[in-house]
Amino acid sequence: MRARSSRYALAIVIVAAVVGAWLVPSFVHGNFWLHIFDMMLINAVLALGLNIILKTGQVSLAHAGFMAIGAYASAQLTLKLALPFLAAFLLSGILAAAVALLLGRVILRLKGVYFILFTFALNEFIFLVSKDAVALTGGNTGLVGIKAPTLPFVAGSLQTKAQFYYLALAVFLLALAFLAALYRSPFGRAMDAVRESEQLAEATGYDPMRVKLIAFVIGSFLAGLGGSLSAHFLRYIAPFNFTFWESVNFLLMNIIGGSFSLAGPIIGALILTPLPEFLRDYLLWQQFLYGLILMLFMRFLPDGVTSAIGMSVRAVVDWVRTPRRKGAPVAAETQP
Amino acid sequence: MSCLGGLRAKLGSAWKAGVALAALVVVAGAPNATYAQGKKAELKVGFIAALSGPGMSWGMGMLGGLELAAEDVNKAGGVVVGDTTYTIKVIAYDDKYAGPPAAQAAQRLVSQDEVKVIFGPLGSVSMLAIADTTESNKVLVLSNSYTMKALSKDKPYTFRLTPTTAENSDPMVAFIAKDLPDAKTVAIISPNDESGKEVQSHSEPAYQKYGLKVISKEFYERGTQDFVPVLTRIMAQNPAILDLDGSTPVDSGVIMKQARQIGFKGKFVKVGGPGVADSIKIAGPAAEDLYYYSPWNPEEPKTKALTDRFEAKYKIPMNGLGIFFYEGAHMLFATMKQTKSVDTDVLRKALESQKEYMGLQGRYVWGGAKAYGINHQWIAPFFVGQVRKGAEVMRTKIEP
Amino acid sequence: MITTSTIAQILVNGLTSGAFYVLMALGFTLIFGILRLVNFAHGEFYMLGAFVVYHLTTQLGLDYFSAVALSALVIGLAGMMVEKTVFAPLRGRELSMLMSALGLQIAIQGVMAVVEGVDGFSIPSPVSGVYRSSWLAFPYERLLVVGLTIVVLAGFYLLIKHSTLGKSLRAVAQDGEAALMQGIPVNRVYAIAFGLGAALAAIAGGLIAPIFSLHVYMGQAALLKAFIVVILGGLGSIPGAVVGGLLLGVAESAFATLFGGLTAEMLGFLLIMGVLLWKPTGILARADG
Repeated sequence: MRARSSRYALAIVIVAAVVGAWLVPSFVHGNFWLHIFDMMLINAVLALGLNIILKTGQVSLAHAGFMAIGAYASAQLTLKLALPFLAAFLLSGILAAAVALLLGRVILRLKGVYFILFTFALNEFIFLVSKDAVALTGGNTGLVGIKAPTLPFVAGSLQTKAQFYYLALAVFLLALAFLAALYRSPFGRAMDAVRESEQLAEATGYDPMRVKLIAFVIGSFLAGLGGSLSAHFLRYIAPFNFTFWESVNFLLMNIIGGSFSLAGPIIGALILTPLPEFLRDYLLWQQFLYGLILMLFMRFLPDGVTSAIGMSVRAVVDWVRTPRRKGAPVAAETQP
Repeated sequence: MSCLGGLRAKLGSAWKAGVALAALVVVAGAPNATYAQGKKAELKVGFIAALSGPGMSWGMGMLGGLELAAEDVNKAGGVVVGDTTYTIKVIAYDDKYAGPPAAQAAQRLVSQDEVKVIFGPLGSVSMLAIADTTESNKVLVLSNSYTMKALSKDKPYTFRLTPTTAENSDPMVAFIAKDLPDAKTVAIISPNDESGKEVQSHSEPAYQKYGLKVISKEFYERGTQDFVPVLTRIMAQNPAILDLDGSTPVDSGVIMKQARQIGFKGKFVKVGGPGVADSIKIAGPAAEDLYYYSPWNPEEPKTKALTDRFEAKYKIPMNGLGIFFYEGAHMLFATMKQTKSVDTDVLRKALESQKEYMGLQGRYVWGGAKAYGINHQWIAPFFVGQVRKGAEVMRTKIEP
Repeated sequence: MITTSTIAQILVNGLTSGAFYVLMALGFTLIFGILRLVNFAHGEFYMLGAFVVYHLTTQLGLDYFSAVALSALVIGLAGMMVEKTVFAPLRGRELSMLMSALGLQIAIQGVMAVVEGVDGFSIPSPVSGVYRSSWLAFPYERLLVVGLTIVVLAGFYLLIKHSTLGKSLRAVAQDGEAALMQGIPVNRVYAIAFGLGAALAAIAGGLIAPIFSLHVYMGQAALLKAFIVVILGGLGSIPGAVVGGLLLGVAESAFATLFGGLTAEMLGFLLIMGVLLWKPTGILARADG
């Protein structure tokens, strides 16, 4: 009974959040904040992509590299081959996923710190290639003139930040719904099992390599989609959009939000995307503050904001549930 | 020297106090004078550049130049348009020398701060990243950057204040070729970044044109500290001239020092980018005879007064980009006064039809039609300097 | 183009950068071996070491060699304090430690950019002149780096192999819990290991600063090299750091001379990607920190 009511509550929260998110452009005035909201959604898609990789216990520092693959692919497919946006968008995700599939078979054998170091090198390598493969990437100065997204059955292109917002929101919701369903399926449990212990997972009949590979491919697919979105949103891409620090940023969104739930990366993207705007006033010290905040976070909230919220909510609920002298109105609520 | 500086500072503050007092008298004593009939308003001017990270000192130089020009104009009574007297206010944002933060900063300037003019950015990547926002909002951009892609016919509101090697290489190489008649071969060593490749694409044809053969072109990755292996490779070709291209002042210093150590006997040339004082500091005697592009003559009294004023205010030395933003800001504010307008379409057309502008350093004109298809590149006077006994000596001034 | 003279030049060039890589990698690998920490802030201790030497020599007029020694001491102590405050509370949480190291890197860089500015500085070299023969040019300042690196390495070897501290370090590297049972003050050993690693980075900074230049972002490139070397030689392996450092130095020198700077840069990444896939524990394949 408790489970059912909390499921209702969850459903209400989700519907309210979706409706709220849908209404954002009508409340937010001025392109600047819309720009930030658009960036939040793009970052959330990317952070979700990293979350599924983290779920299998692999910490990747190459997420920005896969984002780059998607961004360059999508830009060139629309610029050179004049493909419609939607086709380029999907292909860019598929391309990033294909690269992940090819690499994954080999690199997912690496565990723990070795995987971190390899993906760190991989991101640097993709960065160097994006600087030097001038014919494909435009070299250091990147690609200009990337078109705004177009959609079938929609006239014109999504020129404005508000129009783009709905596209990004739709992609984000689809990604979220897909991952939520996946995490609740047996495959979700398999991923948890692999993260906890590969031997144990193997003993219970999962093939850890297969589980990790599927997660890595899905995560990279989302990275590719995110890359495509960002290319058509900013309409300009250059190698410096995809450095190692960008990968760190996606990892931070997961860690600061909390990587053990889907809410984590989303909250992380909501916090970290506008953060530089708030640090602007501390121009001189912003870098120091950023580093300091990061260290304090690791020290005091290592499991992220969601776990902290979760714990405090639980504490409040427990406190409310505790029968006190003046009857227990709480109990009535939980009755059907 | 420091005595003089102190005196100047004292005089300066006395003068400031005088101006303030005079202003007070005018405002308090004559409320019904014609002055007070007009409206007063702030004219917000945006600024984007790297104000943190490795590019910070360039960005600070640009910002200082702009702020000093704004200070001048405000002291002289602001910009009068119709019955409104505008005071200039600079709003500066950091772009960390990267595209996405620059795009975000531009969006904030345009839609939150509602600026109509943006000075900067510093880097080519930022420059290309903001174009979409600024052009669609008809915001005037007066920038730095090196890339050829920065200016084009599709970007009627985008101008560039700093000359690039596309404009400078030819006259500079012509001078060097005449000064070093025996030199026949050149090697170019460039950073593998936005500026390096761009600079090389301009200086190579210039060398060929004046009879110097480019026998070796080498790139190094930014962050390289040991250049000896690459220099060993270059030395095998035995060039008469080693061109340092768009290397940073620090890297240039290290390259010169290391090249001399492994036995390079020819001359150094630096066609791209200002900042030679830092190179001399690091290379020491190895920098002797270096030919370099100089945006100013540091000994020229008017220039010196400006750089002293900059240093007194910001406690850092002014750099070559600062002067273009000082001159360029003055030029734009003068154009506003002249056209009695702050409308960007009026200003854009006024700039395009501007015959010349006489600034602190001399004559400036708009050019670039041949290279970019649009006359939006400011052509400034510049100098070819040479290091003699560790000091900067101006060999010639090249007028547009 | 390849002559004996080129080969000799490639080797001596490679030796200098190799010596520098070894010093950087030694501290990095020591810290990993003992604390299981991928120290992203390692390059910053190198930068700090160079700046301390800069201020001691140019402003306090100390002679170069004392300045390097003093700088190593100061940075070593600072490193121990950092370990106590930042990393000790996170013991056992590898990912948190790694992220904290990133935060530390950003924070140190941020502070130094404010304090020192972002422009370049130089330290006058304690020796000048170049050894020249018909087939070789080798600046004495580079010879000095190689010589001092050998001295530091010898000292480090003696410390690890023949002192009580060395014994404790080896015991903790092998098995922290077992070391604790033997009555080794493990927490102190952690702090000392971090301090020692930071001091080694500071020495690298002090030695290399007169040859290159110093600026607050110099740590980033140095860190990358330490990374590559340590992966080549095996994480936590001290002999691996020495072999890997020299190998990378000479290989880069050869590639840069024969094929140009960009190829050499790519080489490093291809090498470690290959090594990681082929033998993740490093080419020496025995981690005996």
